[in-house]
Amino acid sequence: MTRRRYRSHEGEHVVWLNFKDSSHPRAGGAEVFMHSVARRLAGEGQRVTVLAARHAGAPRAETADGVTVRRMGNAYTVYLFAWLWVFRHRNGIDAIVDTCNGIPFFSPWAVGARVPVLVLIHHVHQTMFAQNLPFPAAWIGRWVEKVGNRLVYGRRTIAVVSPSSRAEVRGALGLVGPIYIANNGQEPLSAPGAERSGTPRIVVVGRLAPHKRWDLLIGAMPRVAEMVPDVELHIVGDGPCRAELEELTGPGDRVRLHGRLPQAERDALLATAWVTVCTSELEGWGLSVTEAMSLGVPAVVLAAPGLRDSVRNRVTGWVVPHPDQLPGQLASALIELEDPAVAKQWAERCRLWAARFDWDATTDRIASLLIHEDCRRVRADRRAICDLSTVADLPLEQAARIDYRALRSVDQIDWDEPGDGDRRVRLLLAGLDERDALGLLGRYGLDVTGIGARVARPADLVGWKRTGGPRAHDLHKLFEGAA
Amino acid sequence: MLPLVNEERRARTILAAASDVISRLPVAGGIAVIDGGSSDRTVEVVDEFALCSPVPVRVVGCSRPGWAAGVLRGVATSPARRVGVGDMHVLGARASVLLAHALRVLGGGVHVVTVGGDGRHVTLMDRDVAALIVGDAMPGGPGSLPVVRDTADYAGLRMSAYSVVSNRYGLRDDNTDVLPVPA
Repeated sequence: MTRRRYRSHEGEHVVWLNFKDSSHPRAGGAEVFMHSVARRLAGEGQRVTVLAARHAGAPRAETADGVTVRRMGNAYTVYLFAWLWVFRHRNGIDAIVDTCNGIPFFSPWAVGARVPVLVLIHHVHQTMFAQNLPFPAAWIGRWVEKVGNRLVYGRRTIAVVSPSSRAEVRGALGLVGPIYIANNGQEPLSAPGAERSGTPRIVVVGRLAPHKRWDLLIGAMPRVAEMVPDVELHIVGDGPCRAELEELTGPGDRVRLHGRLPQAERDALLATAWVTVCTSELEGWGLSVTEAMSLGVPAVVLAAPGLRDSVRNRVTGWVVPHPDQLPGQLASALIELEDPAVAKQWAERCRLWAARFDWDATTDRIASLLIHEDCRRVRADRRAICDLSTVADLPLEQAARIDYRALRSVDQIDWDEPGDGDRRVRLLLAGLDERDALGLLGRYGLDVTGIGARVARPADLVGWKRTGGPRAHDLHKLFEGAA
Repeated sequence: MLPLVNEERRARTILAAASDVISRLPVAGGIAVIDGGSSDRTVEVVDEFALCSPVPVRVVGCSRPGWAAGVLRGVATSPARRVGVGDMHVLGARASVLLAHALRVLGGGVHVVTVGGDGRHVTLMDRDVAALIVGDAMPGGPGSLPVVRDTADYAGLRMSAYSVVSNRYGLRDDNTDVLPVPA
């Protein structure tokens, strides 16, 4: 019988495959994700090895924050070298996180069924291959991402960062394994002493890249100014489109491009904003938007994948269905926020929403998904994979009767903090419909008549505090004490 | 009963057709959308539609695969006396007239009424009968016709089918009475 390898215990060896590490000059959100989670796993006593490409001047191996980074090959050959390293060390590896940055590492072919492999996909690259590579390479890249992934990873567990990414992975790649969302965390920004600007101010932070479509925002400003005359726009960031955007803004215009600013200065400027905007066509997750929310700044975003997940329409911002509606929606938002009391309510909701995303929760989720994949590897579940989830909402007294270790590692738990009035606990039960969920809770001896169960919407799938299973050993006592 | 999976793009059209027909029927009706585990935004589209729909729209989930499992889940959670399955838009402009007629026939003591033709039809049934027929046959999609079996469970069950294809000038009544199996 195959033995379990990964239980998220001290001393277990997790290998994280990613084509860049966080010290790479072109490191981005995926590397921040990897480093934040790997550091916390190492903090729990697990051995974490990151395999990545070696960039100029970087040592072959170094250990920082308890995480060993091994660099090998360049952006193309790293896949081969990392595969060989995993093959040679397969007996000493307890779990693998295989990041698919378009091209996967094919680690299951190195370790077979002996080691759990969690596939991590930040976003789908099908269109990017066509934009960035010439004909045969683009075609091969698209084929490998779509067909190669399906062949190599089969029914292995997949982690994605947002509901939009999940829809893309199912729709565009057609992967068949169970897909779970492990949303990005973030370090909350702080700007001590900064106050909301006296005049309507829009501050945006982001790279000046073509897909961000800042031209749409600059183009919308004259029409916004017709309705909100003293509006000003500040753009913080640099990138290949800077010259083009500068041409769009005239001298003495209400648009100001700051370029890249030091973090403290950037945060202080952002904290003075009435609203932030993101016009990007595609994001895995709108990190710049949720970071602004941590300063109490609501966002106006286009209804693009990723952004629709990071903004709750009419709660923490405004989701604009079409670029044509951007000027009108932006002006309405600024007019609504003119009243300081209303703006304060928006700011409070934004802070609460942003506070839901922290790296501890993401680490808990990734470790639990590795446990789940290990369970699946040992005892394959032949039931049909279903992307349905149910949210069960129960009073704290009832929640205190559940043994959370008996829940599955893919289930998630969230609860109201003290001071929120009638405290409730919410469970996100993956793969179960309302009847299954109430049946499960009934088997715990709960009175299900007081429990609300409903189908989870995409917005319900992000921002959960903890996961069920062995890592939830302290929750029963926590709720028992609180009740 | 509208079982939907990953129908983000079509959901609004399907719901608009169904709500348009149901709002013009002589009885109170609603729509049950059964989400079979959509990974896209189907449920959000349904929620948005429900905000401005002329008839009540509710969403239930079904973790079991298949169209029939979805219908059974909808039937089990429905407070309605009669349920309908099939895509309303396949009946075209006469949908509300055809369904109003089907309701009159149901009121006359028939248990199952199918209207449509050419493989595209809508079936109205008493709720208990729907659970029996769909649960036994487990059809693969809305295009399948109800199957009435020659067993004691179906004793006394009456079914009518109205074709809108074979007779262009009116409805053709084709009754089937299922009698008790002799001892």
